[in-house]
Parts: sequence; C-alpha cells; structure tokens
Amino acid sequence: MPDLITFISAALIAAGAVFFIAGTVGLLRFPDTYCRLHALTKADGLGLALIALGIALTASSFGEVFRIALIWFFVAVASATGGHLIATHARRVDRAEGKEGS
Amino acid sequence: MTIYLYAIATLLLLSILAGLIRVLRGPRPAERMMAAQLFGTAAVAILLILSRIMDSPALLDVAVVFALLAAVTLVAFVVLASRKVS
Amino acid sequence: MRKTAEQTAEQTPGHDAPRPVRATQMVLRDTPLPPGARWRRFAVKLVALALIWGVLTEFRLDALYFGVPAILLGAALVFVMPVAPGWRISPAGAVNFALWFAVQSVRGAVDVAQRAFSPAMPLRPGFRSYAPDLPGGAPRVMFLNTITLLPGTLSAEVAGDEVIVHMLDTRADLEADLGALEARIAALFGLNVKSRGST
Repeated sequence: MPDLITFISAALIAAGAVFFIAGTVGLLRFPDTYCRLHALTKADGLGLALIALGIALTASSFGEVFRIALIWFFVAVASATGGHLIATHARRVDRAEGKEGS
Repeated sequence: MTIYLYAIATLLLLSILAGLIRVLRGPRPAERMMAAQLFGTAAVAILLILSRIMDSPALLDVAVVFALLAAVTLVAFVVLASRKVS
Repeated sequence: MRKTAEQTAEQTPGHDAPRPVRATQMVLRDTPLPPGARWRRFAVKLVALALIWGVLTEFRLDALYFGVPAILLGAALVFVMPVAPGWRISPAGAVNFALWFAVQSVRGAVDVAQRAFSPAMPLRPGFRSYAPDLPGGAPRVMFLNTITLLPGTLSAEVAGDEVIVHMLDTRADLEADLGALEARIAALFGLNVKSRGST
C-alpha cells in the first residue's frame, strides 16, 4: 500500500513537471504577451497543483498538508491576479504606443 | 525516489532558465513581469520537492514565505511599471 | 463598439460619460455598515488568523511571542482598510464549485499545453468584452480570477462595468462559458442573480 501511494505521488509530480514544461514552451512559442500569459497562468498553475498534491500524499502530519494547501492557495490567487495585472499593464502600454490590441 | 525527485527539480530549474530566454528576447516590461511570476511559481514547486528530498518541513515554511513574497513582488513590479506609462 | 465605449471611458471623464474605474474601486465599494459590524469582522478575522497560526506552528506555545502581535495586527487591519460588502458562502455551492473548478482548471491547462506543444500552434487570439451581472466585492473578484483559469480565457482588463477578456480562440462561445461561470459563482455565494438567458 505505501508503494502504491509512492507511485501515485511520483506520477503526480511527473505530470506537474510536464505542465511546467508546457508553460515554458508556451512562453517561448506563443506570438504575443497575452497568449503567453495564458500559458503561464494555466499550465504552471496546474503544474504546481499536481506537484503539491504529490508531495502532500506522502506528508507525515496534518500540519504539513495544511501548509502545502496554503502554499497552493496563495500561489493560485497570486497567479490569477498577477496575470490580470500584467495583461492590464500590457494593454495600457499598447494604448500608449497607439496600438489598439483588439 | 530521491534521485527521481532530484531529476524533477533539475527539470524545473531548467524551465526557469528557458523562461529567462523569453526575458532576453521579449523587450517589453510585461515579459519581465511574467518571468518574475514564473520564478515565483517554479521556485515554490522546487522548494516543495526539496522539502521531500531533504525530509525537512522547515523548507515548507520557506515556500510559504516565497509564495507570499512572490505575490507582493509582482504587484509592486506592475504598479511601478504602470507609473512610468501614464 | 466596445472600442468606442472604452475610449470614452478613457478620455472624457465627464458627468454623463462613464468615469474610468479601476478594479479596486469597482470591487471595494465602501458601504455604510451598522456600528458593530467592524468589531464583528475583527473578531471573525482574529479567530481565523489564530487558527491558521496555530496549525502553522503546530500549536507551540513559544511561537505565540510572535503570533499574538501578528494576529492582533492582522485582524486590526479591518479598521484601516475600506470595507467590502459582506458575503457568505453556501456550503453546497462551495462543494459544487470546487469540483467544477478542479475539472475546468485541468481542462484549461491541458488545452493550453496542447496548443503549446502542437507544431501548428492553433491560436486565433483576440479580445472580447463581457458585462457580468454579479455584484461588486468578493463575487466579482472571484469571477475575474476564475476567468483566467478557465480554458482559453484570460481576464485582461476592467473597463467600467465590463471585463475585457483575452481569448486564445475567439471562435469559442464566450457568452455561454462566462454565463455558466457567473451562475456557479452566484450559487457559491448563495446569490440570486438573473442568468444571461433570462434577461
């Protein structure tokens, strides 16, 4: 049984890493700022969630699980808010440069 | 398992480095902000994995602080950059 | 059409024209509160922060040297910060929302990952606007943040009462997706908001 949990944990962590790589690939390949933000907020967000879940599965105490959940929550809120702020900023720069983004 | 986790952590580190390429290529401040966000998220993920490798829950506290600071940093970054625009 | 509306909002802040509204103003309306309300919120925050501190430090007593001042200061912020309208969460709505949110955020990440890895990179990006019916405060903040984690959408800007959404593929049905999201958030907060279809 512990072996099974270790295996699931390892699989979740690997899947998380794949999403981080997807996020970076999107960051490098996507054509404009806004599309890159999609890659960053969504793919990296899920990547972290999967890694956090994988680590939490093998945690030794409830305190650890709570801390991991708290970390995930902070990062998820920060990344959604941050994505919005960066997009708003980019649109303001677009307008200042005379480009209408839509 | 430990070697496996080291490999994943290295992979995440490499993805941060690749993100740096975007900063170097993307001339706009928005790309630099995104790099800050990528650093924050990936650093937290790496810290979570390290806490398991080293079996030290204290690293989780470091990750909590990192997660909070990353949010504040990003907001400050955007606010300061926005002042220059308008 | 959205373009003109946005430009008037940006350039002519007159009496009749919509004034430029920042996200913080839109979501943090300072509503008058009954006298005891701030103290009640202070008490709620105090208990919540104390619990979080307790779990974080595994209820160690010596951690309270830092904990008590930190908790008091944190809870005292309710006297300094502008007061957002109050809200409550419906338990059933919360469970539904959490499950739905988990599925949607996985879908969103898988979708963007597929586009990133695909050699052809199928993107048809563009902006659309959407006027939510949700009230200001926590429900709207929740709405704005969740848009970003749904497949293919990103909340890019708040202009007046509209949200400017960036889409990876503008052919997707934005009205339907965001209408569904609004209904879920209304259920989460136990609100009775008219849905898009009924108006």
